[in-house]
Amino acid sequence: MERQQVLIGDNLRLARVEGAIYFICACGQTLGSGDENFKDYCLVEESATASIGAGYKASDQGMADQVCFREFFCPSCGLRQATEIARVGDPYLSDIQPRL
Amino acid sequence: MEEPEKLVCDGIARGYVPPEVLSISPRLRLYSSSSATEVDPITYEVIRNTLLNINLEHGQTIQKLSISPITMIVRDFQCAILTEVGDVMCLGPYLLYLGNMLALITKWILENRSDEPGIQDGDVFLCNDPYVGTSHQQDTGLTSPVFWEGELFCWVANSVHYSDVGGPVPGSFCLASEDIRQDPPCFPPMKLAEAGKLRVDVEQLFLRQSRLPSTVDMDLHAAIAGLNLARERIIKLIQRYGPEIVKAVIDEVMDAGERAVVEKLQMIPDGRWSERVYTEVSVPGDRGIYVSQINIVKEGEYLYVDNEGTSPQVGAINNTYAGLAGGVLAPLTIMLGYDLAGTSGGLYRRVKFRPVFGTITCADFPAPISTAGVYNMPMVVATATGAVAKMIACADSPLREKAIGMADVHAYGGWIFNGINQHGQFFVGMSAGMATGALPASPVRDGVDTGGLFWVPGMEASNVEENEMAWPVLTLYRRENAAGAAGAGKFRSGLGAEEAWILHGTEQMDVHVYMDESFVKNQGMMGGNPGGRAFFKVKRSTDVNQMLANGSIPQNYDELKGEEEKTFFKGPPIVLKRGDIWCTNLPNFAGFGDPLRRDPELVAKDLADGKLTVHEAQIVYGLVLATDGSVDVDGTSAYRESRYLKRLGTIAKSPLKSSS
Ligand SMILES: [Zn+2]
Repeated sequence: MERQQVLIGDNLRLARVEGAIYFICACGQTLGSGDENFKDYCLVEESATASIGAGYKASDQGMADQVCFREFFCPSCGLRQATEIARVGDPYLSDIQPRL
Repeated sequence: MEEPEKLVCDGIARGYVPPEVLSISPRLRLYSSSSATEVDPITYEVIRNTLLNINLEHGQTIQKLSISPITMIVRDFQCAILTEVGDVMCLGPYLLYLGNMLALITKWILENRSDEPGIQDGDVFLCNDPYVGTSHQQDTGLTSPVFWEGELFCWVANSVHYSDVGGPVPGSFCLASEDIRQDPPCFPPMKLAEAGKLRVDVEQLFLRQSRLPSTVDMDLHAAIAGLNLARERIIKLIQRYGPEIVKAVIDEVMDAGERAVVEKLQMIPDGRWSERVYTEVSVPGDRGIYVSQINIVKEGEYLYVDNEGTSPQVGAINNTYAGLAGGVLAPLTIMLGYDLAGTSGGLYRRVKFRPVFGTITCADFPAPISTAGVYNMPMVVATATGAVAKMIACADSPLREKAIGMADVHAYGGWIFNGINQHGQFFVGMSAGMATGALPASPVRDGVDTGGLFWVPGMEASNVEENEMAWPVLTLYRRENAAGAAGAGKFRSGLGAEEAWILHGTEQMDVHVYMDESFVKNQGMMGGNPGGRAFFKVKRSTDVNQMLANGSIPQNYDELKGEEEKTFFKGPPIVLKRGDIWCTNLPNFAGFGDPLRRDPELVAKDLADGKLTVHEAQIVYGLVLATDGSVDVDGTSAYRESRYLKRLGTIAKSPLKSSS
């Protein structure tokens, strides 16, 4: 049986639209084609890890300044699709690439 | 330029990777079954369950006879039955990443010892060499062949964490080591017992390295007893049912496990999934940040795993191929092999490794490995968990519900210490503060508060009284963390735990290993918050003894008066003294999904249970309460909508892009 779509968690899917394959947010917004990183189509906020909230306060600011917290939001509905703790300047991790 | 010499995966120059077909001396006769043997279903189940129970009894024997709390209480060990060629048939509900290591050691022995000195009935091989197949030198493996009428029928094996196996630091975790020759010694497989007789020379060689030879010897004999018991029980089973029948069952258990895994693989689309975790400080004083990355390609009915993107090997933050393979197979066992009851061999057949050598997660000789048990191994498991969880979250239902987020990246809450105990004797303690655990969130439900470490299913947190009996310490309190931002999500992580301690019955004690992260390393899942930051805090010259004298037991580290000591990740050893109080924290782990999507009633329940403050409920989850304290459903929807709009109005697209 051929797959028509792949549900990725519960708010993102990979689906065929008029012959092409796209990542699609639960709101219907496309987030790039199936061979791209959907994060490249999100709004991205980068902040200090301590800003996530209580329980994230850095014990060594010099070390903590080398990394950041990234949030990837759907540009249409504002849903947070992904987060990353990443070294400042490192590329976004292309981490979810199912195929149809 | 001259081509660099290509290293071979021989367990000497680099981590041993067994070939598909082993090169075994013809001097060693292997038992091979006639494939035509048919076993009726009832006999099959009786023998299958007997084998599983033999392995469990093997584990229980180790647990009952060992004297180190880490084995006796926490169950930081593993035992397995392996086929004649060293494939895992079943392993116990203990430290899952050790299972495949027992296979590596056994296969290496078959390839390198079957000719000279030969493999005989009653032999027990000892190996703690990470380049052959251990996670680090302390997790020493024993493996023993089971013969039937002169032919090698199967193997029984175990791996136990021995409290001190030598090297420059008590407990053998050498944080400053930059070469394995600054680590505890490595012993490639050698015969600890030969033809049923213990070799006292080899036993003494192993014990001579240790600061705790009596303790290590007791634990070693517990491990030997486990092997003897398992071997005897298997022989009895063969005597009762015949070798053909027992062998046919072992083969079918492997095949059935493989079929069960293939059924699940068919529920997963082809594709590629990755996870990246950052660590820090390769040796004390270093300020570097390093990457562990795991990538999984699912193609048809196989998984192909690599660690491309991982930092080159450096300092004392390395593991070998054994650690990489074991660390990846552990979360796969949980998410794809949850119904196999430990018969993981069929799963292992479907996972192919394409390691990038010379990296911190697949280091070449002579990288030091002794610290891996508390730093690299949990990190490899965590990295692999992230990649596996994302893959499973893309599977068809009901498999997708089995995805579980990342747990601890290093052995959080754990600390390793030594000194003179309350009985006037030298001791090395290893507090498995991670054992209380916390199950991370999944795509369909919250994690479980203090729900254990999922990749050590049989792990148990020691009772406070057991710790106080074993070590010169008193626990002031042990309690669950708050829910808050750490591990928040549409489904939140289970809650970790905090513990505060003071000295008792001694004047001072040295702590060599403690987990005080500079920054959080856990990764959230599918828009969930990452887990919280693990910490180790020390307050000097407190009024704790005065408070105790007045009849009150302090219940909050932050409220005690004293001088806060500045601690660092892999900082210098800390000398704890009378009047000091210290606090270890196992943070909450990964959340799943955007916290603003959490069912308001679930937020309200955490509020009602005292796990969350009203302020955090609003900030983290966008919850609005009515004046009577109930959930204001419309108010919550409106407030959350304003939060989404705020994101859209204030956040721009980043100029950064992903790697191609
Ligand atoms: Zn959307």
